Amino acid sequence: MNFPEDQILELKSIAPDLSVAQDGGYTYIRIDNLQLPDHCQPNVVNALLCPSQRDGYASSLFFSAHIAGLPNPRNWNRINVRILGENWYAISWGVTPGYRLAELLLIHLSALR
Amino acid sequence: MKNKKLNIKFRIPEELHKRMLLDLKRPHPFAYERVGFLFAKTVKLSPNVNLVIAIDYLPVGDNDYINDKEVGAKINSNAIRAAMQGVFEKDCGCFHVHLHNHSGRPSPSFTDAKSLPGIVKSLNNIAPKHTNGFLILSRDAFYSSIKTDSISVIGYPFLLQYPIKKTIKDLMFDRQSFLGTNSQSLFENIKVGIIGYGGGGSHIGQQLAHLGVKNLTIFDYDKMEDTNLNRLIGGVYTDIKKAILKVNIAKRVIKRIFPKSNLTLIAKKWQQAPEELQICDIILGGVDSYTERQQLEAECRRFLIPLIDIGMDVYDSGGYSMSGQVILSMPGSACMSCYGFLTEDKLAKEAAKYGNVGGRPQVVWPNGVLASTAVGVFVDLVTGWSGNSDGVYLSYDGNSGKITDHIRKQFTSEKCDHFRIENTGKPNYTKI
Ligand SMILES: [Zn+2]
Repeated sequence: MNFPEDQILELKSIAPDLSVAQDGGYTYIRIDNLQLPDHCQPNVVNALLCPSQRDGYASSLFFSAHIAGLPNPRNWNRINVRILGENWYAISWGVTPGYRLAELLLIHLSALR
Repeated sequence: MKNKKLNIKFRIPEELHKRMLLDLKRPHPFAYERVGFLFAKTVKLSPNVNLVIAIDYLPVGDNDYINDKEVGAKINSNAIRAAMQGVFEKDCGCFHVHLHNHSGRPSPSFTDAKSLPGIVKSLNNIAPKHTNGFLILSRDAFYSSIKTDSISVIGYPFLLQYPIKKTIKDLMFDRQSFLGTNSQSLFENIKVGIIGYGGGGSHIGQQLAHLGVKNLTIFDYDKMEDTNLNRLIGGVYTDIKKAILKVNIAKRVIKRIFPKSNLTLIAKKWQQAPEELQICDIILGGVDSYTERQQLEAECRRFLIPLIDIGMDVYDSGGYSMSGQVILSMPGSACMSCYGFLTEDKLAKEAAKYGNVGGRPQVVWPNGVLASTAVGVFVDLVTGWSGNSDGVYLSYDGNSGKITDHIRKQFTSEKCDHFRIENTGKPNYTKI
């Protein structure tokens, strides 16, 4: 899976430390040192953005840690999910398809608010 | 810490092994033997265990040999440079390889012993962080310049080479000697993981103990409950009240059958102790969801581990129908997605039901049929006794009791695009 250059640049303006890798037929964008809102514990994590359908979600954002301190209770239904040789955590957060990568990241991050 | 022995497990995909043999066997206009370079990634599993996984092979070009009657194969600087470039591009280690075209374990010739350490030294200079060395192949075995715990070729049959130890003839295995003269020592040296010690896993553990499979790692985080007693082999009524961990039931059963067995019991999810899984040579999985299967298969592929998966279900569609499957997911061949067994649709449906999966029907006899079939697949894989190298996707019809090749198997290409060999070991992230 190749991502359009302009969308990558846009994503980089929010999260500069990006890389891609493939696992089991899925392509993931890895975001290192992603800054989360201040109330999040921890508030800097690594993340995997999966822009394609996986586990019934049109797109997913996996965090390298379970994030505490959220003002609204969230359903962390994917815990210790093994992807690319690491364990990840994700909130059940449905996002309709069709967004640009940067928008996608921001919509997934809105689950932390 | 420094003088603690480092155990190295070396894994080579069958496809690469075949490629090496084919290439190295070809005659050269003047060189007496051919040479190639095998690229390998190293994964540190624990302070004293390293896994070395071969990911690519580079033959030396015909023109890169130097005509020297004294040496079997002398290669020029072009060949070395190509190997160096591979090491940089792939960020991995490198092994000089050549073939001694006979069966049985090869050993270095006088010139090998004289000339190869020099090449290894330059490889170590180029890739100091990685594992480098030289390998001598025979048709069915290896000599490695680095001391290894095991060298395996991941395919059918599973080629496993381990340091020579004397095997004691044991009457316990008298009736299974048709599996091959070597079979018992293979069972003694191979390390097998069982994921989930429930209805399926408990049959598997018991049978592997009877076979004499010595090194078993069992993963199950659950305790024995009332609802398990209908199918968990070795579980007894009083275990329920005592809330005995299932891995301890495994220990009790297996040690009684085969006291010599060497058990590693992990009362956690495998995701919480992944190194214990990665060190296993073969995994038998009795997990109960598609997402677990998906993760397990991806992890096994990444570490070049054949996975034998079993599962059953009962559906109510105006009358009950019972079905199940046994799949061998062999690195380099068709995966569960290739077979159409794992699909986005199934994963989505399962995710939608999250939280109310409830107690799905599970009974002892189909568990036993499927587990026994899986053990049969395992024995064949390790010993090659049947000579049937076709992939395995068996379908169980619990209503008729029949096990047949799944209809989709014949339409599945043996080549898998979901998991590529170059993606094994440490993930390849590309900066963007
Ligand atoms: Zn596949």
